Amino acid sequence: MKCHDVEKLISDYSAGALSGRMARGMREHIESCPSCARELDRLSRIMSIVEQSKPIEPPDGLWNGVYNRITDPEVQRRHSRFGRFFERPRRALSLGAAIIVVAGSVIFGISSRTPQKEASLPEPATMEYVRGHLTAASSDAFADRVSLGVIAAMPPEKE
Amino acid sequence: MVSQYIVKCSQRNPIINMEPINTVGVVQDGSKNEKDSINDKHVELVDVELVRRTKTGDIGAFEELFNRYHKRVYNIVARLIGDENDAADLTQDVFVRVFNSINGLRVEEAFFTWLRAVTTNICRDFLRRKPPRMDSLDATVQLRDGEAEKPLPDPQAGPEKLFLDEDRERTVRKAISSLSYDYRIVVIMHHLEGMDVKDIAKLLGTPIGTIKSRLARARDELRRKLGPFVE
Repeated sequence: MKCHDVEKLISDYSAGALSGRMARGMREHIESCPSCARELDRLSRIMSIVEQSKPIEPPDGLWNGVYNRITDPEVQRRHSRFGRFFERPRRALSLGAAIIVVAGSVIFGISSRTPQKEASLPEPATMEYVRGHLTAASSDAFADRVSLGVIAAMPPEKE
Repeated sequence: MVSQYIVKCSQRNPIINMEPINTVGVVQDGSKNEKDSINDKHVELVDVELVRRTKTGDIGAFEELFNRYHKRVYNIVARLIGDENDAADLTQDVFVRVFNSINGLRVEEAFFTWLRAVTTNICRDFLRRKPPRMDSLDATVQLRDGEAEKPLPDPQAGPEKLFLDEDRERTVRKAISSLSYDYRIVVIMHHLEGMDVKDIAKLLGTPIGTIKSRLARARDELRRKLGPFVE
């Protein structure tokens, strides 16, 4: 690689824009050529000057402008809990879907029951089992009674 | 309200070096000691907490975020669009948009990455409506309040004429603003914001190879424009 080629590609080399082989060729040349090494160093110093550029001071009062705009009543409404909830389309869709599923289940459950058909009583063997379990559980503190509360409310079978 | 904050500062770049209560140094090559890692987590926690509170409508928390980041945002905007008057308005636009859409930010730890993306998008949209200034190094520039800059030092005069910091600063800013938008944004993000090429590519939605190429071309131009001022 010649100095003329290196000089043209030195910015690409510094930016990592060269292929592996080209970059190796550049590196080998720079390591053995003081003039090209100085050019690379000069580029580094130029970029250091750029990086040391001082921050530009913003004007005063920027926050006031932001504050006035975000406290606008319309913006406030969108940020309220209610507004935020419905601002999120996914949440609203999920809620809507849930409502539809529940409503559908209720409607389906109601329509599947025929008016003249009562809920059938469990088999006598089952009732015996449950009554026995109730008796056994009578000395238990709470849990069994709660779970069997509904069944216990059913009328006793006729003897 | 968060009563203190810890800010990461880059040892290389003074633009993001703000005055914090505690300063944590981050070595540019990414290596950190254990103490820095613990403090970095604290930095993230503070941002996360502020973002969460802002989502509930806590304007005080949002003001805290504004205080932490508005200077960086302003610098990105001012350098990208090349006009300090418009930069003030656009900086406000950035934070208003952030406030209005912060509920959509799911990864709260990524607040600043997102803020930077909003900033570049707003600048890009602004420049589409209004063509960018590409000042030559010879042109004078209107600063805020209509004050005109004094002329830049003569590049033919050599490096000794840049001994004044003020002159050097103006020359560098003009050199950056004279670049085309694609080159300018890469220089600002890499050399002034300290972003690596991979993250710039993600931010701009551009292949890494393209970013490297733009960075190389930008360096070529800056070498040409600032070279006479460097021995």
